[in-house]
Order: sequence, then C-alpha cells, then structure tokens
Amino acid sequence: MEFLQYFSNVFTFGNLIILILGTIGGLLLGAAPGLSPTMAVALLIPFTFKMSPDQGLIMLGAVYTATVAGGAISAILLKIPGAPANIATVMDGYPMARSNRSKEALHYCFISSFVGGIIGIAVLIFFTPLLADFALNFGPSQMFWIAIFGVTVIATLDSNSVIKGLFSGAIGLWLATIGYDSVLGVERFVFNPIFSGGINIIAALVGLFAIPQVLSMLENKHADTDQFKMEKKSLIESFLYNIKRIKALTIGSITGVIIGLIPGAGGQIAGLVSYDQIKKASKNKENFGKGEPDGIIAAESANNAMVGPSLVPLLTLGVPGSPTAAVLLGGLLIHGMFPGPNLFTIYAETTWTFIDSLVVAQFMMLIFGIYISGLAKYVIRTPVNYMAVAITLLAVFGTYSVQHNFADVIVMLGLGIGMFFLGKLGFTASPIVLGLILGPIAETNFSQAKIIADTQNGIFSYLTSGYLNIIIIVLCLISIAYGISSEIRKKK
Amino acid sequence: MIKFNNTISVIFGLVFSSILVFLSFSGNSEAYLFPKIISSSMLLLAILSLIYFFVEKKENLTELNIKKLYPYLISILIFVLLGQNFGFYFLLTVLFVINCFVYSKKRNLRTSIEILITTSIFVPLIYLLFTVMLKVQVPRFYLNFNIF
Repeated sequence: MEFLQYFSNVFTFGNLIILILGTIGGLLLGAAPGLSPTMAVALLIPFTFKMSPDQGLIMLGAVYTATVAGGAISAILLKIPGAPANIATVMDGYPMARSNRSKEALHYCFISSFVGGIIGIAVLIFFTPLLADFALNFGPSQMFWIAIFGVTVIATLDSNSVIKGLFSGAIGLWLATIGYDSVLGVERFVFNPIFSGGINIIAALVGLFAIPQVLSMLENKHADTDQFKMEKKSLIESFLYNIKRIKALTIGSITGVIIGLIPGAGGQIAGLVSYDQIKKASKNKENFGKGEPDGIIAAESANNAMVGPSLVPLLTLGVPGSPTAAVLLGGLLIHGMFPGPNLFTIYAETTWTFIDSLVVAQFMMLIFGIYISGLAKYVIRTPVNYMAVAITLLAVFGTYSVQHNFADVIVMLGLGIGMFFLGKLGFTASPIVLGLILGPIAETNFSQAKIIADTQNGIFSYLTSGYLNIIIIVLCLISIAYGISSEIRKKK
Repeated sequence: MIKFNNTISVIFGLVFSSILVFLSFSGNSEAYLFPKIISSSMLLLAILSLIYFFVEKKENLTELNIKKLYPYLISILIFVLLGQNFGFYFLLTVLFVINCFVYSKKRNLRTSIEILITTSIFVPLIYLLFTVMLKVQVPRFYLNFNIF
C-alpha cells in the first residue's frame, strides 16, 4: 500500500491549486472543439518545465483526465467531439440534448467518467509496480527493442496506413539523431547552428501538435450548430440512475481498462468498442442513436477508464498506452525521469504523488465538470480566429520559455508547418513525436548493446537471442500485423 | 486549391528517404551507424509504399486551400524574421489583431472593436503569465537588425 504513504503530498496548498487549475483548464480545453487532450498536454508541457517534477506531473495528469471528460461537453451540446475519445458520446449525447435533456446527458457523462476513471487508476496503482519489477530484467538489447516496440505500436495503431505510420516513426527516430551523438560525441546533421543542440523535445511536441491544428482550424472553420437551453436536473437523481445502469458502467469500465493496457490503442477505440458492446448487450437496441443514456455511460466510463491503464506500460517500460501518454512521456523526461523501475525507487515520492493526484483529479473532474459544463458552452463557441491566434501565441511563448532560445521557436513553427503538410499526405504526428522521444533511448541502448556484442557473436545475434528479446520482437511483429489487418478491414 | 494524392505521398517518401540515406552514408564515423539503419529502413518503407501504390491503384485525394492560409503563414514568416528585433509583445500583438480580423466572419467596425478589446485583455494576460509569474524575459522592442 505504498500509494497511501504519499497521499498527503497531493493536499499541499501548491499541489492542490495546480490540480484545481489543471482540472478546470483541462475541462475547458477539452470542451473546445479541435483541442484534443494530446494537444492540450503538449501545449502545457512548457509551463511545467519551471515547476517541481511533482507539480508538473500533477498538472499534466489533471489536464489529461479532464480533457478526455471535457470533450464530451461539445460532443453533447454541439455534435462535435471535443476529442477523438468522445466520438461515441455524440451518438446518444446529441440526440438527448436535442430532446432538451442536455444537462441530464452531461450528468451521466461526468458521473460515468468518474466511475470509469477511478477503476482505471486502481488498475494503474496495482499493476504498475509489478510490471516495473519485471522491467528490472531488461538489459540494453531489451531496452532497444522496447523503444522500437513503442514506436511501432503507435505507428501502426494511430495511423490509417501502416507503412506511413512506420515511416513517420522513422522520421522521428532520425530527427532524434540530429546534434551530438551521446556515446561518441560526434556532431551529426547540424546544417545550421540552431540545430547544434539537437531538436528540443518540447519545441517538437508543441509544434507537431498545436500548429497543424491551428492551420486546420483556419482552413476549415467549424459550422455553426444548434444551441440548446440547459434544463434543470437533480444531480442526485442522475447519480442514482447512473448507479442503476451497472451493466453499461461495467462494460464501459472493463473495456476501457483492457484497451488502455494495450499500448497505443487510446480513448477513441475504448469509447467506440464499449458503445458497440453495450448496444449488443442491451435490451433496448433500437433506442441507441436516439438518446439512450446507456450509450453515453458506456462510452464515457470507457474513455476515462482507459487513462490510468494507458500509463501502466508508459511508467514501467516507456511504451505509451495512448498518443496523449506519449506526450506525457516528454513531460517525464524534461524532469529527468525515465520510465522503469527507477520511478518506483529513486523517484518513488514523485511517482506516487502523481498517481495519487490522478485519484483526486477524478473527484475534481466530477465536481468541476458538472458545474463547469454550463460555463463551457460559452468557451466552445469561441470563434475559430481567436482560438487559432491564441494557441499560436501560447505555443510561441511556451516554447521560448523553456530555454530562452529563439531557435526553439523557429524549430517549433517549422516542424508544425511541415507536419501540417505531412498530415495532408497521410502521415501522423504521434509516431514522429514518439520516435523523437524514444530515439535517444533506442540509440544509446543500441550502442551499448553493440559494445557488448563486439566481444561476443556480433550485434545481430546479441539482439535476437534470449526469450525476452524474442518476446518483444514478436510483439512488434504482432502490432504490425494487427495494423495491416485493421487497414484491410477498414478498406473492405 | 492544392490537391494531394497518393502519387505525391509516394514521391515524397522516396525523395525524402533517399536524401536521408545519402546524408547518413556520407558520415564515416561509427556515430552514423544508427542513422544509417533508420534511413535505410525508411527507404525500404518508401519502396514498399511504391509497390503498394502500383498494386492498389487507388487515389486517395485530400485538398488544401492554401489561399486561406496565406495570411497566417506570412505572419509566421514575419515573426521568424523580425521577432527578435521588434520584440515578441509588439509583433505578436500586431499579428494577433491582423489575423483575428482577416479570419473573422464579418469584417466591420463592430468586429474591429471586439478584436481590439480581446487583444487588450489577452496580451496583458500573456504578459502576466509569462513575464511576471514565470519570469520569462522574451525579446523586447529594439531596433538592431541582426537577424539570427
């Protein structure tokens, strides 16, 4: 019960304020259409740079939790999912709002998100230390393969084309080699002094996620939709009703937990799979799509139940469970914390404080979510031109604040504009970011493995022998095979 | 309107990976081993996408309305070139006002006043957050034209 030991750390004045601000900010950012949790977390990473590691991680965790739930506000009120995780919520949330039950729908959304979130965090608390202990068995060759697995998994699952996904991951890995080689100290691919320090992770995160979104907002402005009145609805009534829908809550939470544990899968899949499952299991199948509360309850409990488990492979192996978790990895690394057993030994206090804060963040999300949803309807109507320019300003100042270096801002803007055009060609940002983050880890371990292998049977033999290496290589191949089969199924 | 299709995507993949292969293999040190492996894998993936392109023969089209983006992209270019000389606050305030106006649905006096009010609230908030609270000293307005 180590997690209880650090619970009081969450309730210090500074941490609590950050948690509240992170939750409220996350709910509002999540509610704004087009601002995905991944982008919100990326945009906030520069702010956490000046904070202590626990405060920084508390902020990012609260934003991650709240944006996933906040995305349901615009899904219900505008028929525009605030995040991909809320796509399934639109199906019954919007019809409920149309029949003047928007407040009821929002109540169900936040209550079920809370239940799912708590179950997800429980899984995170109990599974993470076990997997972290197991990671002690990993040497350079296994760590090299784990880094490759992380890139492969995101590349194949967060992309419409396996080849393009893997190509994007490779772009990230190559970009990570710019600057000085960590083992030999040789300068590589520095064509301009602005690249001499390599590509700053924060500049890359902000640029790759924020700028393409801004360009896309300006290119396709969102159409206006109906505006609904908020009816009066008792919270206790909604709570009791929600608890009665135990089947939807259970299906949603279990699906979310399982999908969260699968590296790379993410909230969108969790929401859609649980919606499909509850529809199949329900006696009122014909009501789905017309405003069936079970649809919202299952989808929202699933996408929040996914948050905790998506951090299990991230904190133990450095393999993110979702694209947002991939960005969160950048947040860990800027504070000098690398995923693995060290998080639960050297950095135990920070890690457990972060995990404990996620529990409190669920309560905050429930309380503020219900009361903020009324206010959020104004935020979600912020004109696109204001939103786009404001995001650009935050991205510029945020990136500059990290190293006080104008070159980082140029890199951020350049990567962002480049990513926008790459997106048009079908490439995705998440694998590039993960390649950039995991690249140095992969290369350092590869170099160490090569030094060891040179005294043995050579690098190929060293990297492919031993049961752990073989298991991870097989997992890489499975993720590629799964990506290919999903691509074929989509085309059919 | 620019149209993107699979052909452009495949050509991009081949050209980009070939450049990276050339750059990686032009380094002689052992430090270039990892980039060599990565760029070779990229070239292999680009060749696979070329084969796939001929097998599938299906064009997925996406469009880009570049004209809509010109004001924003030009603003970014101006900022990159002059940001350090004209200062972040001055230049970004000007660009904020111009972009908000250019991208607004209605361009009339009322919109202009709304934009000016929003700017006069938002920019001081940014100043408060970054310069006062986070103690970030961004380039200020001064005119020594030493770009980079």
